[in-house]
Amino acid sequence: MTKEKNPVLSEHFERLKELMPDVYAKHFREERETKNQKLFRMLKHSLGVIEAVYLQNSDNFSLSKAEEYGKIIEELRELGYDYAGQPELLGKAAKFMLMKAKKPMEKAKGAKREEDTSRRAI
Amino acid sequence: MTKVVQFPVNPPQKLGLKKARRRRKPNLEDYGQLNIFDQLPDTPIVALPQAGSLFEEALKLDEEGDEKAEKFYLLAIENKQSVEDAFCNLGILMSNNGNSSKAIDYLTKCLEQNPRHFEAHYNLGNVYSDIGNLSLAKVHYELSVQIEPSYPNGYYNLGLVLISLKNYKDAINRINQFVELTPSSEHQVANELIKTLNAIAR
Repeated sequence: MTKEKNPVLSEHFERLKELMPDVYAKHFREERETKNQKLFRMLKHSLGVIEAVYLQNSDNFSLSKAEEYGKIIEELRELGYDYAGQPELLGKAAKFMLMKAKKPMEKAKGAKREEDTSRRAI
Repeated sequence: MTKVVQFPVNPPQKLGLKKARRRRKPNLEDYGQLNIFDQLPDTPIVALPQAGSLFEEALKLDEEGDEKAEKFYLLAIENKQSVEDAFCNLGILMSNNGNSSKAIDYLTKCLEQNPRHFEAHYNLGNVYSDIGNLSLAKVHYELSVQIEPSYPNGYYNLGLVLISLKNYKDAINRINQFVELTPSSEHQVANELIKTLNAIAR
């Protein structure tokens, strides 16, 4: 059974929609957004999904993914957008980026060790 | 009476000039000898590692970025040549290939041979910091600088771990130790770090 529309009320809402389109019609609001704003909104949704995945299981969230997340937030800020991000995840990303500046591995050279008599097993 | 027998005399050949002719090279194999002097075209000369130098050969290949280095390190271990160092360097190879668990396995095998192998402790610090286990990284860096106090990179990486663990005062001390042990050409980044850390620690 379908409800019949009240003609008076529907006329009233039609008039309201014309007067305040951004309140009553979602598509009007979307039309007013610039392409950049739409992209920012989409990006915020995506970042929200990443944060949700992290909060569900932080142990399985690799450090390289955290670094990528941190880079996106940084780039957004550089472009003038305001997005705080998930503090714990950002901290993880910062640590990973800092440790990337570490000095490289050191190869053992073999012969040197035989000359070094100071090394004794604990 | 005796009979005189005439000795046969060939008329002498005239000895004159002799033309030079290209001599045919003797084939040594015709005389039952293995010909080791003539090389077949496009045959590569392969230097076989001398006895006792499998580790050196592996290290050379490793420096050249040759994949065969791994095989030679394993051969060195099999032949009991520089076993601990071969395990250590295999750990580095595994870490560079992104195989952190195998890298830890080899580096700890190195420590099984020599618990005071400073490179193994230092490299384990690097592997643990790569996988985000900063507390274990800190322990291994600390051990590496205790065993080899003159190695500057141990202090630097320990400093970075301490920053990540928000222990800024100790981080400043460790990075200062790195500065003391290195030439001025390496001080720029370290000095910047110290400046920032001093501002944070206040």
